[in-house]
Formats: sequence, structure tokens, C-alpha cells
Amino acid sequence: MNDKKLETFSYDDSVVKKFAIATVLWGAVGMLVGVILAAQLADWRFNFGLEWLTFGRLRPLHTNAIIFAFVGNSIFAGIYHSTQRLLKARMFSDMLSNIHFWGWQLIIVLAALTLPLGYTQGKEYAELIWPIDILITLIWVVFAVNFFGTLKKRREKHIYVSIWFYIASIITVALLHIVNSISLPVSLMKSYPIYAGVQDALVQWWYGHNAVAFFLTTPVLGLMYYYVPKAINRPVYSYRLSIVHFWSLIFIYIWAGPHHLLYTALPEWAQTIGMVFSIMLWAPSWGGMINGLLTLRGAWNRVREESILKFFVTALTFYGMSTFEGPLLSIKSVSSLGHYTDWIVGHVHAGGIGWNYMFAAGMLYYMVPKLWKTKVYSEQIAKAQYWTATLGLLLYYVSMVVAGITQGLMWRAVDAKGQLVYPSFIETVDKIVPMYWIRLIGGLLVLTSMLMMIYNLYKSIKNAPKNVEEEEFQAEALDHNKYKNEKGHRKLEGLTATFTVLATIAVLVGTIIEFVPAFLSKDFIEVSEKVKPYSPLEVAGRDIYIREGCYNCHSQMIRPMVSEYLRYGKASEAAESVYDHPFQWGSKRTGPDLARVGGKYPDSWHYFHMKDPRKVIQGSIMPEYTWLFGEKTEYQVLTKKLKVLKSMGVPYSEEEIYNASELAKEQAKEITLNMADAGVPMKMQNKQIIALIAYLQRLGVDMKEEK
Amino acid sequence: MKSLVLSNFSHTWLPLVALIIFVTVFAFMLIHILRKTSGQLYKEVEQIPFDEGEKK
Ligand code: HEC
Repeated sequence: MNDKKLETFSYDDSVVKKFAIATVLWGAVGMLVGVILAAQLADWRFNFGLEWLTFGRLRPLHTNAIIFAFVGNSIFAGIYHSTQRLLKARMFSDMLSNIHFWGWQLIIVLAALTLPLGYTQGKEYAELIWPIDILITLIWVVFAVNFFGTLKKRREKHIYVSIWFYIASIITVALLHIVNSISLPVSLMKSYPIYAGVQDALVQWWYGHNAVAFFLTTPVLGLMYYYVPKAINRPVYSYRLSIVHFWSLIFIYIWAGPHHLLYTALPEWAQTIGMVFSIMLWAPSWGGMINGLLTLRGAWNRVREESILKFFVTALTFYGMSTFEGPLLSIKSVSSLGHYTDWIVGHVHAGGIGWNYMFAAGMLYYMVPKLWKTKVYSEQIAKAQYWTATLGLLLYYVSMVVAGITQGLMWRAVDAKGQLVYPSFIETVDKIVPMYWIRLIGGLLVLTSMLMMIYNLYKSIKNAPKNVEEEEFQAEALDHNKYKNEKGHRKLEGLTATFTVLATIAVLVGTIIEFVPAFLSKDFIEVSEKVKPYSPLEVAGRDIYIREGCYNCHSQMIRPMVSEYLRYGKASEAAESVYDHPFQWGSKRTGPDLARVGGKYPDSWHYFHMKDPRKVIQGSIMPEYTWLFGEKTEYQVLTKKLKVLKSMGVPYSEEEIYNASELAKEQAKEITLNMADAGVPMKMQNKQIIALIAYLQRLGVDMKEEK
Repeated sequence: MKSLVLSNFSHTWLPLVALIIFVTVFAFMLIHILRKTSGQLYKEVEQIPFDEGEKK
């Protein structure tokens, strides 16, 4: 047939190059921050006495940098590279590509500035303040328009499975980000989420879990279905299986969030849904892993020789391991041991390093020589990088699992008389500090491997020929009339709109079934008479607690178990956090739970403990919070804060709102006076430490057990 | 007390609904992709990564 219209076009690789470079640079930064944090848990002095390097402020920077900067840039590089080729079309708009790239880097820089300064929303992996959240939304829309625009002008009729994964990821991430970030601003840098307590917890972990699912997993699986076949030069083992993988994964994943909230005050039915769907996830995940690994069948000798394949095989193996461990940890009895411990930290790093980093490394080694028309500088360095990273990962993972299980067992150990075997919390920390050192070595090795890759890629690019012209390609234009008569499945393959709608429905079903009752539940959580809103000073203290990121080390959620009852008091109830915007249940207990710390110690105990924890508790690894003793409490904004909280349903009276500042000052004076005997001077009354003490002393007292 | 009320609230049908929806969707998908006619299509589609257009 001679009537086919050949069109000439080229691929925009310049944006891919930029994303590739950003990937490794931010990757190194994110890992460096991780190493500093690891060092701080081994020895607290690694914060060098600087407030913006303390654990609570720095940990959000690490998680955000790894997720959104390192993995984010890597998936954008891969998506821009593979999408153009799979659709035989240049990106819809070079300008949008550039806005996406520079906008995303701006977001990362803003994150790197605001988080250490303590500007945070206090929700895990969603810490960025509201103006940055809006910027993220805008840039994501730019990305989506660019992507769907490319789909529209494609020259390939059928949509390869990778593209499906990209579509589902783009839609779902938008949904997650917007729903979880809704908050009412108090000022440019501060806002309160509209959700509180149990609802906030449910929304947050629906988001948090699905950030893992739709940011760290599904886009990368899409990349896997492209780059693994490309690297080995043969099609995916089973295309059918990839479709089963896709639909079951996106459909099931969205439900699994509540597995982060097992044994909490979240209603039992929601916990059950979370657990069941998490266990079901095991099947499609392993289907995907097997599909990837079997693509390499009969070519294992090449895996021995080529680092690209080594990275891919290891990535797939760790994908399989993590998606086995995840469902395991979602079984309630396993969760009861593992939750709040370092086991979970080990688990996420098996995913983050084993799956995401290994995959990104393989992809970059595949992509960079092609983009720059050159060869990898040194296969030897790539191999050395691979082994360094693998050894680092193993040290990291094993030390954390050992630390987690050890500490978990110590927390729950109860003797024959029904008493805690290890009543002092710090004893359970001391035991695992050696593991923290091993973790640090593991982390250092992984960081080193990253630097090796940077060097290797830098040298490769430097040796590349300069000023190569953009290559041109030819392909037939897509003739829609030709496919008009296709039916059923074939049609669906081609119809992006229908497909997108179906994928959206798949993720909405789980979301709606989980959310609707939770929001209706407002009607049946009878707001307890006993639970009162925080006083103005306590609100100020709570905001300091959020700013300092105490939730990165402390939980505020006592689970209904004997050992927790003995250690912390009676189990937390949903009604207790109805006024918590945002909730601060936490997810990790590097320090003890604080849900009922109020009244446990005298005010002065906290005063001296916050100043120098080791003076009070020998061997503590908690940071010193010396600056709270110098900085003044902001009283003026309290009226505004209470107003915003009231607009979201916290029952403050007009009087309280109007007099917020005066009321706070009075309470501060009272607390300081209380501590006079312990030697605390009255001039401390307007300092932030007093507000923080007010908040800590309030925790859990409303519903304390009457003895 | 409240958590007691909450945990006894009869939402047991919810996980059940969820499961039924899932099984239905899954069954449809399986039937769909296992149809005989889809084999040929997948043979074509799985080759897409290897065709980037002809170099000019
Ligand atoms: C690096 C992790 C870490 C961070 C961050 C951290 N803590 Fe701690 N915290 C600990 C550890 C470990 C302990 C147990 C040893 C001790 O009491 O010092 C502890 C103990 C406590 C206790 C005593 C609890 C009890 O029941 O004995 C309080 C109160 C406390 N922290 C408050 C805070 C506040 C408030 C912040 C934020 C400003 C904070 N912590 C930040 C690790 C941390």
C-alpha cells in the first residue's frame, strides 16, 4: 500500500536529560540527609546543636527528598523518555515539559528551605506548607496536560501497558494530593487541615500508603514493563499477565491504607478492610515480579555480565520481597509486634533502596548512553556500585529488622506477676543502639554507591560527542477512521478517555467505600463531654510540637494491649482526638508514647528534660531543645488560630477567641510560677518552652482513668 | 465507651461489599483477557517498545 502518510518527527530528549541529572543529584542529597539522621539515632550529637538539623525537622526532608526529588525525577525521566517512544510522538509541548522540570525543582528547593526551618503541616510525607501544595498541584496539572496531549497526538494506535500505569499514577496522585492537603490557612506559612482525629488519620494514611503505591510503585512498574524488555531486547514474558497485574494492583492498592492504623482508634471494620486488601495485594504484586523476572528467562548469563540487568533483577527481587513483607506486616498479630518499631523502617528501605534506587540505577545506565550517544564510562565502577549498594542495603535491612523485633519483644514482655519486664523505655533503646551504628554503616555504603554512579555517569557524559543533532524519525500518522469498526477490547485499548475513566473508577471505589462511613461517623462519634478543646496556650504549644516534628519519634496512640496499658495507661479512644487538626498519632516510637503523658511528671520535669534530656534520663537519645528557652511564644496570632479552628468545628466561645492572647499569658504565668520552687525564673513565662509544657501536660488528661 | 460503640457499629457488610466488587471486577477482567481473540492483539502490542519509528 502506497497511500500511507509518513510523518517526520523527533523526540524531545533534552527534558529527559535534565530529569536524569536531577535524579542523581537529589538522590545524593536525600541519601546524605538520611545518613545524618541515622547518625543522630546512633549518637544524638550529630545534630551539632543546630535546631534545623534536629531529627524531627530533618526527617521530613529526607522522606520528601527521596520520594519526590529522587524517585520523582527518576520517574519523570523514564516517563518522558519511554512515553514519546511508545506513542511515536514528541511530547505535546516542549514549553510544558520545561515548566514541569523547573517547577518541580523549585518545589524541591522550597521544601529543602522550609522543612528544616520548621514550616510543616505535620502530616507524614505531606509536610509541605499550603502555598507549596498549591504549586505542586499546578505543576502536576502541567505534567498531566503535557502527557495527555501527547497521548492525543500519538502515532501508535495501541496503548502499551506502561502507559496504562502512567495514566493511573497521574490521576491517582492528583486525587491523593488534593484530598489530603485541604487545609485552612492561618497565615502564609501556617494552616490547619480540615480533618481532625480519626478522619484525619484515615485520610492521611489513605494518602500515605498510596503515595507508596502510586508514586513509588505503579509508575516504576510502568517503567519496568518498558525498560526490562528493552534492556534484554525481547518482549515481556506475558502481556496478559501484565494486564491482570495492572487492574488488580490499582484496584486493590487503594484500599490498603488502614493497615497503618491497626489497633488504633480507627473503627474495626476499616482496619479489617485494610488488612484483607493488603493480604490480597500479595498476589498481583508477585504476578508482576514473576512477569518481570521471567522476561529474562534463558538470559541469566547476561545478568552475570551486564550491570543494567543486575540492577533490574535485584530491583524486581526486592519488589517481590517488600510486597511479601508488606502483607505480612498487615496481619494484625504481626503488626502488633512490628508497628512503631524499626522493622517498618527496614521494610520501607527494602522498598526504597532495593526497588526504587536499584531500578533507577539500571534505568539510568540504560538511558544515559543512549541520550548522549556515548558509552558507559566504566562497567567496572557500575559493578562496584552494584555490590556496594547491595551490601549497604543488606546491612541496613538486617540491622533494622533485628532492632525492630528486639525492641518490640522488649516492649511487650510481661512477667508472671503481670508486670512489665522492661518498664524503663530507655532500656529498650539502649539495647538497639548498636544496631543503629550498623544501619549507619549500611547507609554510608548506599550513599557511596550513589556517588560512584554520579562519577560514572559524569565521566560518560563528558566523553560524549558534542553538538549531536536531534535524530529524526518517520512513522505513519494515526488514522482514526481505519479503526472505527473495531469492537470491544480492541477499542478499549485505543480509547484513552474510556480507559482513564475506568482506571479512575477503580481507585474511586475503594476510596469512597472507606471514606463515606468515616465522614458520616462524625454523627456517631458522640463528642465526649469530657474532651475539651485545647486552651490558647496549649494550641501554641501544639504548634511547636508540630513544628519540631516530635511526631517523628513519638506516637500519641495507645493500643488496646496489656503491655501498652501497663506502660502508658488505658487505650486511646477516637473521641480524644476530635479536636486534633492535624492528628498526631505518629507511626514510630523512637521515644515513648505521649498520649497520656499529661500529669505523669511535674512541669519542671519537662522543663529540664527538654533542655537536656540526658540530665533527666541517662542514655537518652532525644535531642536538646535549647532554642525553645530563648524564643518567645507568639501570642498575637492565637486569636486568628482559634478563629480558624472554630470555623472547622472546634467549639471555642467568642470570648475565648477574643481574649486568646490574654488567656494564654495567664496560663503561662501560672505554669512558670509552679516551677519557681525548682528554680525556674519568672522571666521564662513568655518563652516557647512554657507553651510546649502546657500542651504536654494536657495530653490524655481529659479521659484519664479514675483511680 | 465511644470506641466500643464504634467497634460494634455494624459495618461488617462493608468489607463484604468490597470483596464482592473486587471478585466481580476480577472475574470480568479474566474473562476479557482470556478470550481467544485477544492473543493476536497482545502479540502485536507487546512489540510496541521495539518500534520507535524509522530513522530518517
Ligand atoms: C530523636 C527522637 C526524638 C525526638 C525528635 C523527640 N524525642 Fe522525646 N524522647 C525520645 C526518647 C528516646 C525518649 C526516652 C528517653 C527520655 O525520656 O529522654 C523521649 C522521651 C520524651 C518524653 C518523656 C516521656 C515519658 O513518658 O517519659 C517527653 C515528654 C518527650 N520525649 C517529649 C518530646 C517532645 C515535646 C519533642 C519535640 C519537641 C520530642 N520529645 C522529640 C526521642 C525523641
